[in-house]
Amino acid sequence: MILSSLTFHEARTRLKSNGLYFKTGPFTIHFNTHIENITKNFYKLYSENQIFEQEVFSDFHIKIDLPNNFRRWVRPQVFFYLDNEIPFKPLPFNQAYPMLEWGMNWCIANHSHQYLIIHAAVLEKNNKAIILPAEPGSGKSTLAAILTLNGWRLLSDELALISLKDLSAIPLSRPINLKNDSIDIIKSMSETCIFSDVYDDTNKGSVALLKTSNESVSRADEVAIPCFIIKPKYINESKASLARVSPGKMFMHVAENSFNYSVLGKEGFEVLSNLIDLCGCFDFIYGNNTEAVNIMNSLVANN
Amino acid sequence: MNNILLIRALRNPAAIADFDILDWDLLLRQARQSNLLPKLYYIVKSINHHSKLPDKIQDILVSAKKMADKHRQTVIWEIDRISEALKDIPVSVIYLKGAAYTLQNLPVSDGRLFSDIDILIDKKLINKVEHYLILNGWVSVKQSNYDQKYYRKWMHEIPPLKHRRRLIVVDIHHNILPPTAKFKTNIDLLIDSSMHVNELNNVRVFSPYGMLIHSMAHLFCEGEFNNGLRDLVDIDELIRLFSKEKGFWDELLDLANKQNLNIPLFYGLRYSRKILSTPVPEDVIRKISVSQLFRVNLVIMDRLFSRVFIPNHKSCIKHSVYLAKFFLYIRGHYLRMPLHLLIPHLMIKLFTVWNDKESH
Repeated sequence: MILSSLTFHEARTRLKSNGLYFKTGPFTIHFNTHIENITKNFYKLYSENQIFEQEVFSDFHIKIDLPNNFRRWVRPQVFFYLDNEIPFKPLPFNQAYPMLEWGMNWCIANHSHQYLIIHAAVLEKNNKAIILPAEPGSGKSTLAAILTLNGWRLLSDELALISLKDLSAIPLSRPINLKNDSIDIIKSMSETCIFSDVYDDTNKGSVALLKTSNESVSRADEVAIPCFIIKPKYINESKASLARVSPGKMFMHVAENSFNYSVLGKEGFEVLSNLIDLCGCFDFIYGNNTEAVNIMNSLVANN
Repeated sequence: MNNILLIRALRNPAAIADFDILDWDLLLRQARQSNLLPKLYYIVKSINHHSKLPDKIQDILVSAKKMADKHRQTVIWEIDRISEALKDIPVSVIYLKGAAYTLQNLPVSDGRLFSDIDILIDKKLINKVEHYLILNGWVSVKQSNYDQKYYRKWMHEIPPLKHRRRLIVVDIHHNILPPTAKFKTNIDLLIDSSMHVNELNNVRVFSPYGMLIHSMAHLFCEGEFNNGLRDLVDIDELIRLFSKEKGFWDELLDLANKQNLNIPLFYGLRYSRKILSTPVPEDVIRKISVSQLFRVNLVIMDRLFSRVFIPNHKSCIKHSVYLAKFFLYIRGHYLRMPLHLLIPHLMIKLFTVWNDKESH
């Protein structure tokens, strides 16, 4: 059963009362909120995600709500609760929906050390997965969105989950977090893509979430084998270039962009070494979307 | 008490074999909020139950265990760094609580999470130690003048230091309780009976009896119980390990008596037995010398403590828990300081908290 099989009204009632149990990749999340804007955007962006009729075992029990004090009324704030813990500071009311996405990222990055977790997008085509690890602002999410709109399967936009057992990439299949200029760039590429509201003035600037493809969600149980690790860099109008990087250099880049490399200790080192050995490593500069798609397509076709 | 899943699992690991999937959901949440999730990994292991659990649950337990392994590694490294920073001064550093258990690889250190590292130094050398740590990259956590003075004058520790890159906090004590505390301990005796753990003579820990008495003194003179259950689990595991030694109970009672810590010992044995089924012989508790009045008061103390030695999870926290925590908070402060010192201190604290809130 998927979220869209509930009416909006039913989903809203559940979110307000006992909570809604939904799946995102390997995780089951029990989610509760009274905030209308979250409900509206969640219903739109997670419509294809599997939900459960009854109470089920959940990895995370989360709630986003207004506090029971004056900040409910005066310059209202929203709080993120993991169970009864408040893991980070509240945000202004108008950033409630992005807080759901960031909060889920926080839960996974801090509690799921059964994976090597990298701050990276992961996409797959022709059974070959590419990992795009990068700092914020590098154009990683934009590239992920462009590829998703061009038939690639999105596994994850922010968190690459790498199995410690067999190095496979585990799909998370969540919306893509786009910032600032890239929101309009992606909107102009396709009229059918579905966006959340745009949230201005967050600490990342303007943020909007792009719904991932239905295929990406329906195939969320299918892991993919990483074949390439590509460090993307968007430079406006620049000609595209794909250049090999030494494994050692890429190792350092991925380690720096990993959330739990140091938690995993020796195992983290070994898993990351094996992952780097398994993959071709590249720097990728792009400035034109069509060109970027063509290069990525040929990379997974020829090899 | 027995309907709380986490406590059932702690009392009797075999009980988890009967838990269904939704019991596990709640058990993991109770354990996570109580900083005992990695401990649960070891409880499951103790009855060889891992392979019988769904993959999802195994993953969560393994993830928690990895985090505890990371904490262990961090603590060991930080101890190494402290030794390095102090290598030029002849000083013995006695590691307390979690760091001590980890140094000796005691079973109680399996799956234990840390928030900071506690050490104890001879009071005469404490300024020198502070100086050398600051020279080597540690900075004081407490910046206000009031806090600095308050710690140095009234506390059994100096203001905590934090390494500016590694961000690990080290609490530097010269006694196990404040000098103004109701219980007057003999710290020299505890220091004299400390032992070194590895080839380095200046890395030391209390004797087993000292460790146990200290953990009880700490827990039962404390005013905050957010890690209460975790601390009681420490006591339980230490007793289970050390009580195998011949003459253990007599030695323990003797030390508590010499340290004027009969009351914390009484509570420690009583509540670990009551709540975690720790094997403590009844006659040991009877032998502890405490007053008749104290025994009468137990009716009240039982009610208070039974409400704080619970998982720190909403499924267990009722309104009466807040009330009990409040009374025990007042009690903790009262045990630390006489009222004529305590009241001005609490007023200043209240004022600064209020002021901080206003300025945000």
